[in-house]
Amino acid sequence: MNSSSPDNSPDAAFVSALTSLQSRLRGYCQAALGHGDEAAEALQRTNITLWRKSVEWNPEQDFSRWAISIARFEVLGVVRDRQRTNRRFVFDPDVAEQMIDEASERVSPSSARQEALECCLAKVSQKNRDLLSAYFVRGETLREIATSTGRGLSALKVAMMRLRRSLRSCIETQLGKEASA
Amino acid sequence: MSESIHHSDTQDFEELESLLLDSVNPEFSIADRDRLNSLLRDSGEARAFASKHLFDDALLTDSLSTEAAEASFKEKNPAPRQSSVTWLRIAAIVTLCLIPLPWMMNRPDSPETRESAVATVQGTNRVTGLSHGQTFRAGERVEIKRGRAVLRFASGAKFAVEAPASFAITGSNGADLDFGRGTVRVPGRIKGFTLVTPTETVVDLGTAFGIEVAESGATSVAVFEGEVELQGASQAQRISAGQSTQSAQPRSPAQSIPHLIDAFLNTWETSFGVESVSGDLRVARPGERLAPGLAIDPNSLLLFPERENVTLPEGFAVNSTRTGLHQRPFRKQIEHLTESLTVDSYLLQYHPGADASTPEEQRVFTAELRFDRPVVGLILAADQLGASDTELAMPGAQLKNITRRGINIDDQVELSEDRRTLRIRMSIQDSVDQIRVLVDASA
Repeated sequence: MNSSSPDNSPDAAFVSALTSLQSRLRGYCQAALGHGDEAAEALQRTNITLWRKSVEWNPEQDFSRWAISIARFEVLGVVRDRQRTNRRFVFDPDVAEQMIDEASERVSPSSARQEALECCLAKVSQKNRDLLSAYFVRGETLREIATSTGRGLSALKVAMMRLRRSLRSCIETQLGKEASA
Repeated sequence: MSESIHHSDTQDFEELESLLLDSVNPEFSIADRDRLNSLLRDSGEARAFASKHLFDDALLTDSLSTEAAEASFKEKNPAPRQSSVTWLRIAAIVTLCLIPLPWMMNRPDSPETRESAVATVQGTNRVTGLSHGQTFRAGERVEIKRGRAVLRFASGAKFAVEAPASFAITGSNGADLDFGRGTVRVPGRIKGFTLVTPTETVVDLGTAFGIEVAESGATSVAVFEGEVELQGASQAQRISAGQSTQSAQPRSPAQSIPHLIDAFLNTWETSFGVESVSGDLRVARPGERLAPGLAIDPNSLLLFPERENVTLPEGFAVNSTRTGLHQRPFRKQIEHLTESLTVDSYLLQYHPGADASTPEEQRVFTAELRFDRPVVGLILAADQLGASDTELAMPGAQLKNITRRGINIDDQVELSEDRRTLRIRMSIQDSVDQIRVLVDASA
């Protein structure tokens, strides 16, 4: 059984599985390569390869494990390409290889972490949500946010770090509750 | 949530976290970069911390982006307010009472007809016996002997059907389908569109689905998006996107069958207001439509119907509202809408799936695309595409993965004088080309 329709376009089950794994694939690439264009490039390559190989996926097989094995290959490809062209990015190549191993630990078949995060985000004040949206959605730097909000850069950075820590702590608590339930 | 500092990782990784936060800044120095690498190289715990931090960053980006897109979508598609609807009805009745009856009776498409109409022909394709704008009241029967047509019901549901077909309109949100093949799409929050066939009752629960009724009455249903409920048997059955069923006998449970898509592609296309496509172009299939950023086809341009009935504010920026030929450069070609417009949006894309490191031979794609309503705006440059995603892209469209958008120096897009036909010529090497087409949804 495969996941392709007669004209070789991936079918709805494949598209649904790929779409629902996007956050975790993005997380995997970013955890392996840091912020920046390299993670986006690795994710784009991964999606392309998965799309092309959709006929090889058996819907009874764990999609996330299969997809992450392909993502790992593409992440390594980005590192190799950067080395070949002597282009430096956030992580040195030896550190990137260590981070790739570490990133595999982050991806689980379930979306429990995403759900815990969304639950915690719902508890964040509007002011802090605005800060997170400016940084994570609109891609503004802390300096740009400081300028537009009239806040000091250092104070803003401290606020962001405190917010990240509270979210992290909330996520772990939430996951702990779910595990013991 | 208590937004206080937790000391478990604060002191150990404060410097690391600060460096990770700074690493997105253009001014991140080489010394800072070296320090970050040194911390990670030396400590497995630091790597675990950084990995979790970066992973969570990606989840945060996706959650907040989705939330922003959904908020925008809800804002543009609010549930109708009862008070407004009531006042509109009262106004319509008052208006009718003021118009002399003899004048009204002599008009082929009189206010009386419009008032009681529950369905309107939105588009036709080589059809006989139906015309664009023709209205139907509850109880009227529609026979299609040739071609295809799409009817828009007063509820907002759209039913695209192809010949041969026969059905009776039962009200503003349903029909009895005796035989024929079609696609039903129920955009936004409308639910409950009901099609009754000789062997099945199909109720939409916010969805798009294909339906085929054979002359024997046997009914096949294929769900493309969302869910439908089958109420023909003693116990209702729900079927979801990717599933198909067949009901051969009245009051018998429907049986699962292999998923049908291809049989409904013509009416799927018509249901989006696409009258015809020719050349190197196809309309995205069910499934593909929801994720244009992931859909790859090196052999064809793809048209992705996006959001429907979006009201754009006066001043909204597009690259052109004009007919005629459009090509780069667009830098100084930004026009602002001079009035608020309600539009259906379409993304036209070429995505070969090749990466920039493996350049391919340049190819030329030509296509012609005809809509059933006029095109009122074109978005052709990368900046305007990015800026309009929040308003017009489907939630979860995965466009963040597309790094190069807009069209190239050799590409041409021509809008015909009647504003309904687009002729496209794209000269493509290895990049993603995209344009966005805005069609008047109120026409």
